Amino acid sequence: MEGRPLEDAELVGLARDGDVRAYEELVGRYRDLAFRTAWLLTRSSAEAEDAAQEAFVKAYYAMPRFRPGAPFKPWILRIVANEAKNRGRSVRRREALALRAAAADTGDAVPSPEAAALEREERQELLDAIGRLPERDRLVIGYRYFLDLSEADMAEALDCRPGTVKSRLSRATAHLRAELGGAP
Amino acid sequence: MTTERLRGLSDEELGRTIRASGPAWPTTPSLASIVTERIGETERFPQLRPRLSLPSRRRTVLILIAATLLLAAAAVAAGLVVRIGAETVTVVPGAKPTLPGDVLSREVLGRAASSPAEAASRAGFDVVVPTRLGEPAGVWTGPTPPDAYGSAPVTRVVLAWPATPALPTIRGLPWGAVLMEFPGEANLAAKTIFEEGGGIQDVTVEGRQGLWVTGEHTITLAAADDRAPVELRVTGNVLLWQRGDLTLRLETSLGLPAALDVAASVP
Repeated sequence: MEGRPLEDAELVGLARDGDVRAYEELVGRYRDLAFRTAWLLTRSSAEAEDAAQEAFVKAYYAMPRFRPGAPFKPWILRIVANEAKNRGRSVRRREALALRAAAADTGDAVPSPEAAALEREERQELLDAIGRLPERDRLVIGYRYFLDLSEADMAEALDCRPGTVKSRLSRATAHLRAELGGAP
Repeated sequence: MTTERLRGLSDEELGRTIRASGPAWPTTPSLASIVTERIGETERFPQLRPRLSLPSRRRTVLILIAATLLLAAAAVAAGLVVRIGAETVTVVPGAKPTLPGDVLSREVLGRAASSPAEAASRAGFDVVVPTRLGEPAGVWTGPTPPDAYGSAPVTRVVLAWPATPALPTIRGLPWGAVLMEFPGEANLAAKTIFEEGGGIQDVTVEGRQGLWVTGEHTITLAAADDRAPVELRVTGNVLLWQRGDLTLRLETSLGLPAALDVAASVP
């Protein structure tokens, strides 16, 4: 993998031909997104790790069925979400997902001005409300706002028409308002 | 700041606030090397193609080795998950819990077809009919959802034959034999077998790996659209094998030799 970084499509092509190293590169590129998607849907880091790992292995063997030219990112996220949902259903009895707010002055990401201005308590209330949402809403909000997916990628990842993404996001936001105590 | 302020925000403002309130993500594990190692392990045992939803790679390796040595015993000991084509088989240690009351019925099998040919035209694959069983008395097609890989929805086909003296009734069912045909590799059915009162045996059917399952167990069939999967009680003996791109599941009251004869008569 020397020289210019290969595009996803090139790596996918190599992986389809059985190049495991190329696939390893793809896993490295999307492991954060995959793990975080799984974490939003499951109840623990361990479950999320298992779900992401399993999804990447399954995706490798599904490569021959991967549509040439299609973006890899939403495809792998769809597999990850499916795997995580299946695991989440098996542990549904656990308490609602507890999303802990990132400390304002630590962590990998530099907080935005908005984040700096928010009181920690309010942020935690918001995350608590998101954590109580059904997984369908949690995933839409997570994709859009936490993982910063484009609408096109969201449509692929959610397996819906691009025009449906907005309505799903709107519905999830309404549910979030209801969780916050307001009218849906 | 309180929830009142949040509720008062416009959708756009609320979106920005959510984005700025990102959770404290746990550290992402280094998945790349683990995934490639697992692929390497699976490549060494291609006949199993397991789905190992287990917590650690170490257990995965142990189970792969154990499954290769002696499928049945190792499977029971470890809680093995084996995948054959479109069907996942999970072996659970211990006694079986209360099984579902529902068994296979016409209602859950989908839409009736007049013949295997009509079912084939609906399903888009060549429906196979074991010559030893002759023409089936019932044929159904059932749509299943696209799997996580984004593949197109597929149609499963189910054939059933009435009981005869040579083909005893399957307990609880109105038939003597039921053959399910699943195309492709999508995960369309799941079987759970319990150590106590159940048996699982690695068999070879037409040179391909298969499983012979005895004792009451459960099968979960994927349902179309967003409907919940259907969990059913299985009372017959089941031979599960792959033939080309098809996963075949034959349920009868026959013993293994007779079931293998039926399987061998698939043209």
